[in-house]
Amino acid sequence: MNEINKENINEDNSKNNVLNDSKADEVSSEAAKESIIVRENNFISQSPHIWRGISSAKIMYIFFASLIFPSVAAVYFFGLRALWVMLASTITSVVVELIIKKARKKNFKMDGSALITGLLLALTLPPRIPIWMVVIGAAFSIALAKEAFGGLGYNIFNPALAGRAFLAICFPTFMTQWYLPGNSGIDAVTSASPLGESFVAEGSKIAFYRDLFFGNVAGSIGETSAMLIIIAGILLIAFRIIDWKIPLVYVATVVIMSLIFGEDILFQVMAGGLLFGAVFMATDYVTSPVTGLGRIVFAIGCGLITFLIRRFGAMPEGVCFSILVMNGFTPLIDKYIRPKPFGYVKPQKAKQAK
Amino acid sequence: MISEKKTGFGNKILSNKIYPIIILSIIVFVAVLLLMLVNSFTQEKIIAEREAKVTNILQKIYPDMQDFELKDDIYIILKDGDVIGYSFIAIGKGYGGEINTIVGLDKDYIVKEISVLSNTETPGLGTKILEAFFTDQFKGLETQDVKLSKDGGKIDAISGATISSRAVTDSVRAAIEQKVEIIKSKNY
Amino acid sequence: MIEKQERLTAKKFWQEFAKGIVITNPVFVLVLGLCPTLAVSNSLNNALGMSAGVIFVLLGSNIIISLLRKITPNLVRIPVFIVVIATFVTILSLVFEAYLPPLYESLGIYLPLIVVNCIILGRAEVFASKNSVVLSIADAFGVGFGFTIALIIISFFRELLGTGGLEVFGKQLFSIPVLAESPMSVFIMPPGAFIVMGLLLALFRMIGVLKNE
Repeated sequence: MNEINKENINEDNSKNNVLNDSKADEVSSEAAKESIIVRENNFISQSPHIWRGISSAKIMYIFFASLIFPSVAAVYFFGLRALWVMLASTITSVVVELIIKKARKKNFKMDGSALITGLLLALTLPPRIPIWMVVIGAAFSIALAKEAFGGLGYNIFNPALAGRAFLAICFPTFMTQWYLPGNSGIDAVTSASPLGESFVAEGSKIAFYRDLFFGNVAGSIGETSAMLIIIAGILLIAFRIIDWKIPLVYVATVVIMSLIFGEDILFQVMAGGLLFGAVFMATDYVTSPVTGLGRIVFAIGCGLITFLIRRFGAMPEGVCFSILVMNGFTPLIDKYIRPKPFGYVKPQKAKQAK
Repeated sequence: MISEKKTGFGNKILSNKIYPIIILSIIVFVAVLLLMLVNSFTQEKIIAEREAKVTNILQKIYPDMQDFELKDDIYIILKDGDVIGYSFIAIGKGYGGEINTIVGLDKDYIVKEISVLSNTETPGLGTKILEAFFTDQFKGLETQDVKLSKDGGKIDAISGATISSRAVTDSVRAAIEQKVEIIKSKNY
Repeated sequence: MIEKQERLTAKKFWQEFAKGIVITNPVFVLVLGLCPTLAVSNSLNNALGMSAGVIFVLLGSNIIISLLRKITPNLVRIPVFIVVIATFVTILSLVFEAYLPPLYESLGIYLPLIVVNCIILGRAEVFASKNSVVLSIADAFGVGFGFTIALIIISFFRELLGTGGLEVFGKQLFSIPVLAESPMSVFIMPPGAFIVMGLLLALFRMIGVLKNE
């Protein structure tokens, strides 16, 4: 254990080292030295650190691959239009990242983070949103929510969600226009989001749940199919890319709140962006706490705020803003919830031992 | 700020303990005089401007209005000495702050027209309460129908701006109920 | 001798004037008076009205305070400044209400708040109470125009992006076809003010840095 500790540095729990593009390369060579300096500034978690032999770019690409599931569902349900939205968003993200890195005279590295931000943003948008709005949203995500704070690893808020929030405030009418899947023609039917107040489920409840589960409902292009998001989530947890605590506790909090307030539990979980947000958004390394306990607190906060916005707020959906709010709390959570250092003995016990 | 080089006489005045009080009093006095002067010039114009604004709005609601009286915050609209309607301002709590709506009733207390005077709602969404498609719904309604259709009334909320729509609708209804009572009890 | 002195003052006059616009621009360099800057920069109209108001009050207060500088005791100088500034602001708001009611309404609370605008109090304390009347006038115009330019730049971008067009004194200058139909309304709301202000500050810093190199 000691040897590993000295020679290598862990990736598992350390957000800045995992994701900081410049640091990720340096760590392996100057691992021990780096770890001491960095640890004193509380940038990474406590030792022992275990090098998992996986670079941040690799993590990013596995994550990106998992996003294929909701993307495929998006194209299946909302047609080619969804594909254009996703392409516009990802291309803009990468191009804007390239331009800003050049302007700031920093090395542009294709680590996949811009791709992920772009695709995540696209998946949270309504299917009929004009392409130029998608471009503005993606540019905002990368330029203002990510690079303005110092780039990957330094951003306070999840860039994709910040971009979505920006679009939601800028173009409220377009961001609240939902269409039922399968209507790709000009005279597509406008529909309320399932979470909208005026939504009345047609047909039997079981059929409605089935639609929610498979994704045959109105909503953002990537969030409709609960099944595919759950599969992607399980895969990500199995590959240990994301921590199971955040999505599970997040959803569990919403379930408990629904029980307390007598809401339809299955509906609350499967409708809207809850699953998508819990699996892909709240688990972002950079903007979620480092420690296990911290992550649980973070997820409970997300769940509470989501439910409060849905139940008492002015908006039908609260996943986006709840995660953004908790992103803001992340530094505070990390400050107060710290892990015990490896081999740490409480001062009193140490005295007794003597 | 006061330079050291002063004649003995000037120095005596400036170093006096009461001097700051006196100079401040003089400055305040001059300032007040100046303001009184400006106020006397502008007051007439300001009052005329305010009245013209109210008259303009009332004229739009009641094209054949000849005169109006203001009693208990209610504008009583007169034509040839007869009452043809009542108008007043309803204050509602919207999404972004207060929404002030002017309500025009005819003499049978049926809504003739409403018009939002001021609001701080979200531009492009909540501000749709200003548009005719929303305010026209109020025309010809009786008090009990001034409710959102979700709440059992006849007003369709603006999609995406339910809070703003409800604030206007509910404040208008509450104001009508309150003011009509005053009108009836005092026989205006 | 007299001629030389006059030329000196004239030179100094323009120096002070130029200083206020660029070197000590109240908004972009000193980052002072952000409350009115961020609040009323949502349209060019408001920005111009606010700027006119600030220049008027700044000019008036600078002249009076400079005139009074020899007889103002140190002990009550801040109350004197405030009384002088408040008088001018009240005059301004009465005039605006009487003759420019639409502008008066859209400036709202920010018109009386000029009283506590730190640009004006700052100039009174730092400059007018220590310099001659002529130089104080130069300073008032310089700082006032610096404020105006900053406000116009910010409101230009905010109105353009937030409404999709530009409108001055009720005249539509131009509008961008697609954007005018669905403008990015966040820019005429408070967050937009911070975003535009931040980007402009960053841009000016960047240009400044490049020049130094």
